[in-house]
Amino acid sequence: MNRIYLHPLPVRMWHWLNALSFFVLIVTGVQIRYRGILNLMPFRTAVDIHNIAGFSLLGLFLVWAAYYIASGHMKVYLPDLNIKRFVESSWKQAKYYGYGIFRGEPNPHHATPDHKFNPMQQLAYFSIMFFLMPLLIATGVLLWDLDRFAAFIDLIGGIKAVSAAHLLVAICFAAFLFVHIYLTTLGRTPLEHIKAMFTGYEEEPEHGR
Amino acid sequence: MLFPIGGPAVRKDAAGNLFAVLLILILFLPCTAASAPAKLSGEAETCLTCHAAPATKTFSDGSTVSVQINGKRFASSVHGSLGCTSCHTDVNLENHPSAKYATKKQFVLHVAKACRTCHDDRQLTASPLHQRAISRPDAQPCSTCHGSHTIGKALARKDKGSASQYCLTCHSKPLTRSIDGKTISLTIDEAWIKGSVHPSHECTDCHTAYSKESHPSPKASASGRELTHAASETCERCHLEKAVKEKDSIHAVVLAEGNQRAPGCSDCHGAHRVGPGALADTLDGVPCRKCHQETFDAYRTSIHGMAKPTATAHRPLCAACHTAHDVKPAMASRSPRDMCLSCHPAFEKAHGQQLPNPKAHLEMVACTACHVPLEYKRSIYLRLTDAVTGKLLSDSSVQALLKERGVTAKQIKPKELWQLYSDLNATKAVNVAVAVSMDARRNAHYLGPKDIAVKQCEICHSADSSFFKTVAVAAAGPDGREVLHDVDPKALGSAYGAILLKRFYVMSGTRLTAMDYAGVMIILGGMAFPVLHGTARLMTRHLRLGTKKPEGRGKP
Repeated sequence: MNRIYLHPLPVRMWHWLNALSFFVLIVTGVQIRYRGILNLMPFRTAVDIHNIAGFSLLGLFLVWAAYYIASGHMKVYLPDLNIKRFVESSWKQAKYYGYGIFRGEPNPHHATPDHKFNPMQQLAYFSIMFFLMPLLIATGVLLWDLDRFAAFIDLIGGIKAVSAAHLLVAICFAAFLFVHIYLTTLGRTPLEHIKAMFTGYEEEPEHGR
Repeated sequence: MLFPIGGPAVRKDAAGNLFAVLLILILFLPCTAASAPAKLSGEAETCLTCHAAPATKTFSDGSTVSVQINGKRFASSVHGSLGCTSCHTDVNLENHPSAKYATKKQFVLHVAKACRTCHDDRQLTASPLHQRAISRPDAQPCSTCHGSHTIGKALARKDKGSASQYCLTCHSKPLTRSIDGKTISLTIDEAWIKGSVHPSHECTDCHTAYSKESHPSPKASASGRELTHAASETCERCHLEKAVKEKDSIHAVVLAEGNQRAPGCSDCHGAHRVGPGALADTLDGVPCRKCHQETFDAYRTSIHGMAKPTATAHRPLCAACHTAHDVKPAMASRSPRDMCLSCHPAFEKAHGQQLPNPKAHLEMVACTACHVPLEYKRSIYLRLTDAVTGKLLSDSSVQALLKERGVTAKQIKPKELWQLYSDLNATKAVNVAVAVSMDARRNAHYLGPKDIAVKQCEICHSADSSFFKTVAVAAAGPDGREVLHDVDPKALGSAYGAILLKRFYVMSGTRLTAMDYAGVMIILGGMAFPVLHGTARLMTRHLRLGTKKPEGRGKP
């Protein structure tokens, strides 16, 4: 077995702080939307905490972007521009998740620091980090200061449209969390990938490299 | 008893017995004959033997009348040659007094009957004015205008004073006029005029059709209210600026609609007792309460109603918000923010320290929505306005479009609301401005002190907030007043509402309910993959155990 240093410390710190922010945002977000049905905390407290967590997420996103640009590792998020090759490798990965994994077949993808994600992960994380996260943050910032952004909000359809977009993306993130957490259990042991996100090291079978 | 009409209370100095009178006549006849005009009749001279001296008769009710007669003036009157008993028919030397009267009025009326002995109906009704004056149910006795012993033409008697004095000769007396079955007093107390802001005005300054020479018949008025509004035209001559403003008021609109209850100038300012403007700035003097008593009662309990005026600031009364003459129609759907701003200029800054997004809050939420006690109901108003002018759209066009769409239900449904908006927008750009305000206009007057103001976000930002239970579309009626059409409150949380109410979203309170269902579906979708995939993994575990130990299979 090879121990690969797959998750450098900044990435791990970013990941867990991101996770914490998401957790706080989801709880306070649900509270903001369903006050009267769910009463965990006062509305104003929920809004204030949500704003703080939201800006934390914004800061973390900027840190993430700065780190990956500076380290030159941003390419791990970029899907193969060769469409045919990308489709083939994605199909191979999908077949593995949908069939091979049940038969104990080897994972067609082997992670390296420069090739961290399989094609399906690449597509998912590329969409998340380049589209959904900016959209979530942007709509959140607009809703944070309605007075300042009133004219722009009107231009793009109004408060409810912005709020609906914010909510829709947030729900997608929440739904993705179930998948994300489930996928962490697909290692050789259920906690292998979670441990790796603390230690930074993943173990890869030598013959698979 | 010498005086036949005297009662038991006749004073002794005016009484005497016949013997004494005759004795005095013999002794002092030369003197009395010299002092009285030659025209006096012998009978009058006899009576004046006693009645030239100061004397007073007191009636049973306490009223008094002087029984002293100025022989000279009587002699110079048109009746100077008549004997006293020509009028005092029931008095003679043998029976004096001959009758008892409980009151002075009774006595005067009795004597006045004597006038009719010579002055018949034809003579008395020759003049229309005189005819009207004497045919009133409350007609005054002849002596009121013509005098009792110094009889003369009324005009000659009145000519001596100013125009007002001329008028007051009659109008200071109890005078009434009947209009539409209601009795209207025509009595004026000179003190009213002197105590008013018009102390030097003559009656004829306002009542221009009248003068010492002319007293035309009053214009026929269907009601006293009509008379009041006609009188307002008089005020306009000097107060044109105020009159022009008033023409732009809801009161003028209501009057134009034929509602005579609308106030005229005198309803607020008084007719003859016109008070200073400052009078309207007092709780007792504010005229609005005459018609808006219930609203005034609400105001009286408010922070403004209970405020104490200071040396530099009045208590904010009705006109402070509603203005004095160009009173605009009250609108439940409109925030009084601009009016509040005139006295509370720093309110935006103050609210900014407590409210997130203060502009958004203050744009939508009427001041009253937070500052009136919560026991009074709130509503959401959707104001249909012209996007260019910002004015409320005409309700006639709203009604026509609703009718065209066949909307007859009590409440406009969300889709129908959208259709209405689309239809209106087809002809011109329309905005839907939202206001959170009081359910009833009157309740806006219950403004409370700061400490009762809504401070908990949850009052609005809650799924079960009472603020969003009633919704209405507001348009402008033909008279400028708002016309409200009930809307199904579900419209606030509908997709139609999301498109229509671009600037109105109360988190928790008016959330888009369709997003709840979409959210549940997406979350279930997210959960489905782990559940199904995990179940499949468990079910196929034997396959992997039968082959070899599974390797690392993927990353999250």
